[in-house]
Amino acid sequence: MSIPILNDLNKELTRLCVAGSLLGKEDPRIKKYIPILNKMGEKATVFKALASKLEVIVDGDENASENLAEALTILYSILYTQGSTNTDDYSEQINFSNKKTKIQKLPYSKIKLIENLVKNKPNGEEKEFKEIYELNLHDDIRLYDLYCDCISERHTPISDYLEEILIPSIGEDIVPYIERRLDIKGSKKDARLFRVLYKVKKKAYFLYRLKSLKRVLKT
Amino acid sequence: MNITEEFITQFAVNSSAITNGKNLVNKNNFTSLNISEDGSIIFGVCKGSGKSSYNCSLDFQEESNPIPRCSCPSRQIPCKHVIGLMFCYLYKKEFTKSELPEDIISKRQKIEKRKEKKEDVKPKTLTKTKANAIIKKCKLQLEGIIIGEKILNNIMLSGIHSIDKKSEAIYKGQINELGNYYISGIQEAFLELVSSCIEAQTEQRFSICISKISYTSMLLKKAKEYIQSKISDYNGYPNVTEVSKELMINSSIEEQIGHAWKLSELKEYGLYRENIELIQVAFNSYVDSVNFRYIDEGIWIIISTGEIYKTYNYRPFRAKNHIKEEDSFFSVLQANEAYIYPGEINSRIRWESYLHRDIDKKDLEKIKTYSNKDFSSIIKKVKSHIKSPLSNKNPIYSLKISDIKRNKNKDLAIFDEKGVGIPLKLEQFGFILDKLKEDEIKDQTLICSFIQDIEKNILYGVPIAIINNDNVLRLYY
Repeated sequence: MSIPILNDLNKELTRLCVAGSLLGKEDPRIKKYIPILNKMGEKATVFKALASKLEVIVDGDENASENLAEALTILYSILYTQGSTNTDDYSEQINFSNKKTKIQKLPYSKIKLIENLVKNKPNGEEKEFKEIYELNLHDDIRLYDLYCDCISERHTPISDYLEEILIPSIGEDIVPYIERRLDIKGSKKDARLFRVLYKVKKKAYFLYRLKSLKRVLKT
Repeated sequence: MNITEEFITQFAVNSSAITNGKNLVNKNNFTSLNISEDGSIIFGVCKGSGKSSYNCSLDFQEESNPIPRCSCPSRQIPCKHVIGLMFCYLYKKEFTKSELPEDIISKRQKIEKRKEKKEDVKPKTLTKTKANAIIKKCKLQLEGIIIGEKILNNIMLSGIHSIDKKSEAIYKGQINELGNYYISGIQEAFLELVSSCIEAQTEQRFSICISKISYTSMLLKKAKEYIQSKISDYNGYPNVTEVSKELMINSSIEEQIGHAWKLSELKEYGLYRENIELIQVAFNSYVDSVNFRYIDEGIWIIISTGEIYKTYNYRPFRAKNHIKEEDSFFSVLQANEAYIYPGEINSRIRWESYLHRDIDKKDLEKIKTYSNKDFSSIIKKVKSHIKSPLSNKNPIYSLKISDIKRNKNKDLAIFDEKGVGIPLKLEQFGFILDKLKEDEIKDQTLICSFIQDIEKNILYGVPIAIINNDNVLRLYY
């Protein structure tokens, strides 16, 4: 198909566009496409139109700059019809969850507020955050990563609140998100993640992880 | 009177107004709370910081267009006092039934009179003077376009690399000149072009910048053709032809040149719908640093037809405290009159007043019936749409998902009944797509926009929301 040629031509025209159309005069790297496009133009006239624009550019005509913009317009129009949607290598099945997804009716303003509070040092808006928790709007799968980032990366009143109250209240669902961050041989922040895991999963899990920790330390 | 927490969030200018309003209730600053006999208005007295108290009210005489009033000097409408009053009502504080205050009666009368006047307005007739004024404006626009062509030629001649901090100021000076020619849309296109040129040089990725060049060059060309045809239309006065009108109604050209549509104009051209119900499936707010403003963008579906529209709320930085911030909307919005901007797909929609009700399962079922089952025809439609240089490059469609699979890199793709697939590019909260329950995604409707990666030559779908049997799973806000 014509795609590799068009992609190469795109690179050449982009180069010319960066450097200025003046440099296109007698440029062999542009010139070589003219006969190819003219040939393709026998089947679809759009290629012929593109070739005629390139001719003006290599002639170094005073309209070269105008024609460069037009050539790019035509080329992009063609490229926009050539986008591949090939999905041949998409063959693996997804492991679907067996629980209903928790998504709350949290408006943009509230999600942004939570984002701001957990990402920055909060400035007196913790009350709003606690209100979201009290209204039971906090348990939203879209926010789990934010919560975990907050307890693993920062030590603020909000991260304490997350560790003590909010994350334990979510329960099992947030465990994969914590585990993904947890490095069993890690540092202080991992101790905190580990503590939260204990609060969520209680003793049995704690003992299980302790065993794996001992194993790791031995090796 | 249907005051809910969501209604207050929608009604308030911004979130700090809500916090301030709530604080007034917590501090017990309301010394009197009243409701009219017919329940159409609530009013009260709130203590101010000084000696004086403020009389505030919220008038539901026209249910779909509640009017806030307050005697405080704040420029914010509704002010914190009215919001506090709404919270008092929401928290079921005691409102005593009482007669309407004098000033409110006179204000209501004034509104009635204004309405009568509005209805009396005669349809505008085109006079020779008006036709000449239109031609004069068009000629001025053409002059501006010629300057625009020169600027673009200069950029092409000396190349993108010539745009650096120093020359940026020179270009911007020239672009500012365009402001005198009624072509603010073209001016914006140039500003975006220059700033994308600078960005492209730092990142060494030029496809966005080239897209902007091709957009601007085509816009100048099409705008010139359109304006010339408009001039020849009006030159024939009193026998005005309608060649340009066809293009004006069916494409965004007027808006792209810089025309700010008035709702009355849209109505005049029949670009409005009556009594429609819509559901919002996504909301986002972002900074448009080139034009110094915030943009609140909502994506909506009309329940009865499945058509997808967008709302835009522009908030210039300098007026951010006075223009209402939009927010996510979780109910069904009922608009008596909705105005639709000219455009090909996912056009802009607006309404002045609305009512709201809870979403019912039947609404979701209805929307789902409009989802497209044949991906190959949608891909064709998308390609033929985005190939036009002036088109919106991210058209939105609703698709019925038969299957979802992944490749070795854990990227996802959706498939239709015939096994035709679309690779997905996950943005914002899209990551939850492979964490869902099977029946939440299979055979459900995906609202999906498209994006083409010119460098990789792949057309991706960008999931926006999933509509399943019970609710709308929002992958944006």
